[in-house]
Amino acid sequence: MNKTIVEVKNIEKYFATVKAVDKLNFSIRKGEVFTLLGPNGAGKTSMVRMLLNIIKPDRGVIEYNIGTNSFPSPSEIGYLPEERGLYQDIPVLKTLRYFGIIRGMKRKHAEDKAIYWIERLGLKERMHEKIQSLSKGNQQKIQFIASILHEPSFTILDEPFSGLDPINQDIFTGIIRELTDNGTTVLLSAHQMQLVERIADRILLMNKGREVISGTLDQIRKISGAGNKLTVKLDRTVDLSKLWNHPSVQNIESGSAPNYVIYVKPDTGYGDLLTTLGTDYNVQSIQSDHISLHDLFVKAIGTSE
Amino acid sequence: MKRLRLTLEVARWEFTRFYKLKNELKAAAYMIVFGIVGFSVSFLIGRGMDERPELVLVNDTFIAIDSTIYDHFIMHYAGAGEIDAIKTRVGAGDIDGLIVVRSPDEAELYIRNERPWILQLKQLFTDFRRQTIIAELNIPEQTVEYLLRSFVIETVFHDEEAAKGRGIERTFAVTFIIIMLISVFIGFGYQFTAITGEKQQRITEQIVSAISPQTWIDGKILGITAIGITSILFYGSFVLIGGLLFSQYFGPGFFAPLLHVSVWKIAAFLMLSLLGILLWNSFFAAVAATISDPNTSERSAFMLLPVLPVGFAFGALLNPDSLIIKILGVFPLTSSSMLPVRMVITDVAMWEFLLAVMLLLGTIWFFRKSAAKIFSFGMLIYGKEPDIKEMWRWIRES
Repeated sequence: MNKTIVEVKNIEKYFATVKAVDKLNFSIRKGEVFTLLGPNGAGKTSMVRMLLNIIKPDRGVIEYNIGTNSFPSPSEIGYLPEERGLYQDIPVLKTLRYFGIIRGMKRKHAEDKAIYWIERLGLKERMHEKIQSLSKGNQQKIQFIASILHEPSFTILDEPFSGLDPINQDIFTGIIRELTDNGTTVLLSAHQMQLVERIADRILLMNKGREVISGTLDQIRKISGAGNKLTVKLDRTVDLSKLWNHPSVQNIESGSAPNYVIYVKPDTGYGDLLTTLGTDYNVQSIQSDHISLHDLFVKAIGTSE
Repeated sequence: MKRLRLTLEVARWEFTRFYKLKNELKAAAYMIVFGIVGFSVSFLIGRGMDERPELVLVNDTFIAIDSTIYDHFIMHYAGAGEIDAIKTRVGAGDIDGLIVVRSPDEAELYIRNERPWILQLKQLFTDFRRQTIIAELNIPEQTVEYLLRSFVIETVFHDEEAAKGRGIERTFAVTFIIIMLISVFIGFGYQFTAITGEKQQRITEQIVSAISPQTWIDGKILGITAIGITSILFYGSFVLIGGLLFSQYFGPGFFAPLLHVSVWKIAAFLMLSLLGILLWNSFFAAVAATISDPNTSERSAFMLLPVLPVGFAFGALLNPDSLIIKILGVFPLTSSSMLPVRMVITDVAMWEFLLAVMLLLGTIWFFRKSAAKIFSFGMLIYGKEPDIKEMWRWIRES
């Protein structure tokens, strides 16, 4: 197992009378993509700001195991804030060079790396243009580059995919995976469940400042009692009450009849269930899937409310 | 060392972000063009004034008019019976005015509208009246001259050498105060743009995750102070070139008073001026850190604050050794304007100067620290601006 580089212990944070973070505990391991998930106002951004020492926790401790100091130096940490902001009247290359310098890079090195990333993300022709001339998506790329330009060992990406088209989302996920392959640890906070499902090594689901569930995706599926689901298309709308008593069935959604979604209990085979379906009903098509992170998210948040 | 390097990097960033030599040159070119336009228009207006107004005088020999009046006016003479007809001509614009002398002491001027030459006409008639009275009283010219001579008081200074340089020192003191004010006003706008602009553009979070708020604020104060000073040097170079051209015209004697200037005083003025600029820039950084939107914040009115001490400095000219002026001479918010004025017109003890410098340094330190603390607490607060009580709590808590 990789070493732990961040240990969060019993963190609490209040804003006036609102408890933004409530006794939160987690650890992040070197080289993984650790994802904070949660609905709006769950406390993710507050947690991220405490990790960066921008705001202080009211209680609890954050321990870093990066570098020699108790808190990582600016060169060891990268940050893509949820609140996007760039100097609109400054050219792209100059902006990135400055962000590199204040993160401890030498001027020349910062410029070389900035040019490398600008070219890689398809903005070569725009590098001397002012930021304000770029589209929202391209500005997002510049902000993303600023968070990884100095090759930090730990980078925090708060909503990195927002404002990106699917192609650029894929490019970003590829780069994030490449970073972790090279030993960078990534803390990700995002809403795009399909993307998180693809790249997250471990997930911490938060609601109202508290942990709802955490672990790898498989662990979360297990803990939340979620197995697979069968999407079944029948020739007509029928009464499925007979199926409710089947030992493998956890839940049935019939809102889109004659399309039905049957949730299968974890660790139960569904050979017998398929036989029953084939015998008792006129099945047009059938599809088996894992329960998606989206479903798990909705279910877990619903349970915690 | 690393912190100093980062502070200088931020200062450099702020300087290059806002100071554009190309724009400065363009602005100077515009000023030259505007100057030429202004001069040309004034010249044309002046030429128009060369045309002599045409007046009709009804005198009845109350007052002796001499030929100097023809240098300024075209004169016609008429009798009292023609007054109504001439008034009609004035009303029609054929004649500029009608003067009817009523007695040796007064006349009536009949005109259509107010005119700038009326003042000159009054002066000429005052002279004519005096000459008429002198002639009537038959007083010899030498006696008249003797009567009109002023009383002479010759001033002899205890330190004659120092007195020779006092005039130019006064010029230096006033120049440094003006430089400080201009520099502060230049910096004020940039400071608000730099700090509140970054808050509005949501850049601050990214920046302070890399550098401390103190480094960030210090860099801004230094960078923006450098902009103010560079602008002053840029325009100051024009003044210097102008001075050199004048010296070519007036000869080397033009710069002669500089030989009598006390070098330490000039150094002291320079130091007070620089500290004053830093003080006000630190103060404005602290104010800007509390502001969300400078367009709507009432705190923008703080920009007028540096003008107050300059107003007080006039008091120093009247009563330089009063207790209140002495106190204001060392008080940090006023010393950079008051002390140079006092140093020119009275004796200022070395301890007063040193105390003023120490207090200025201490206040700059306090303002920059406060600015960073207020900023670090308030940077993520958008919308409602923190009140004084809240800010003071932040400073104390930190």
